Amino acid sequence: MAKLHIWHRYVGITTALFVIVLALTGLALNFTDRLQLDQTHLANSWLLDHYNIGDFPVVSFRAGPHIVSQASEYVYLDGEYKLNMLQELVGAVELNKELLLASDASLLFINTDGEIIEEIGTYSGLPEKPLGISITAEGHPVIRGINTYWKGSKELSAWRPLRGPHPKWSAPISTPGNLDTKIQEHARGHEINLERVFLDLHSGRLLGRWGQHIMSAAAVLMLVLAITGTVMWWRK
Amino acid sequence: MVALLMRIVIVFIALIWLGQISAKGVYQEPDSFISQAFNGATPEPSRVLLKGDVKKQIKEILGHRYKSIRIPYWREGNKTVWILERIGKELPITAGFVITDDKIENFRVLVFRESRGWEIRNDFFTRQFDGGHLVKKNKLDRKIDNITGATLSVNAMKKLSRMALYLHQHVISE
Repeated sequence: MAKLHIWHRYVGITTALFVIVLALTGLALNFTDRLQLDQTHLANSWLLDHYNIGDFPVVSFRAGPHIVSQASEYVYLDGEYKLNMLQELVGAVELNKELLLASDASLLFINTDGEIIEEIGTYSGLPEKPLGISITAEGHPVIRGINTYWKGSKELSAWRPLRGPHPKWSAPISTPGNLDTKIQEHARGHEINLERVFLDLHSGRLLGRWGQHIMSAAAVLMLVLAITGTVMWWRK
Repeated sequence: MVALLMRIVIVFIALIWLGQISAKGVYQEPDSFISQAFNGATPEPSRVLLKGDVKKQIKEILGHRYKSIRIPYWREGNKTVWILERIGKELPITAGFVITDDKIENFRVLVFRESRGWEIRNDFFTRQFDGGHLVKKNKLDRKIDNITGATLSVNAMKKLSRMALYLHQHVISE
């Protein structure tokens, strides 16, 4: 009995730290939404390197006086983050002082504050998914389809096959160095949120395979504690 | 005995895997949903601008601004069709609503991009909205049952249904 008691004490002290970590992270994860863990991003460079979050390819297009860029799922206007876009940006033009972004799924008509005025997809009038975008001298948008070029009305409500000379398509430009740095900083800083860190801390994955093994060992020790505790209580 | 246990584990893993495959994706293309609502004769889309009181009411319903300022819709008499999006937890869920005479005639989850909460696409969930209409303060006339583990997706759909009903009332009364 005394031997079991000693075992129980040593196992207890060994697992104490793990119990605290598991309990705290578990509690926090149960209240993810209320604590906004998924909305809180970590930009710590050690953590980013630890997660192997490297630089993102930045694609930029000139649209009138602006430079529209995309890195990961983030869209930037002159280096300032404006909105999220899951699809790949294939071009951008200025239209009536606003911006028309072409993704490989739809057109996004936005103002310079990054507010979406309208998303135009194939279900809402767009004849095809765009492969590229251009603007005519008269200010009509043109999208490149697989076999057809489509000229849109200025209100973006009607599209007809384009007749006449080929337009000059919006093409990627090299992102100016200062914008690239700013964009990278933002994109990298938004890849990891507290929820993921807490989940990885809870499972031990934060420390790689060894972390998982340690947490698994801690779980086994906790089972031992439960068993030895019950046995001691039973025998008393 | 061990072989039986192994079999059970394999079937269990396969079921989880199959569940994951079917979880995300396009359940119905928006064009097909709209076309179905009008029996193949889809009218030209109209657009509603979210400004003034409409913008305020939508913000009240959703708890935040809608993602765009202009929303397309399709109308024939007292029937309107809306394709709306709202983020469940991290990614937007696309839903289609057919509203006739101020009541939900049909609601479907069209595109689901999240990794959790996909159960909302099932008929047992969407059927609850059939015939739903707005009562005081733009609330739904009924209680929609939650799905454990899909609370955010369920909430997103409840809010979008209220938004679709409100927008329907607005464009019909104009």
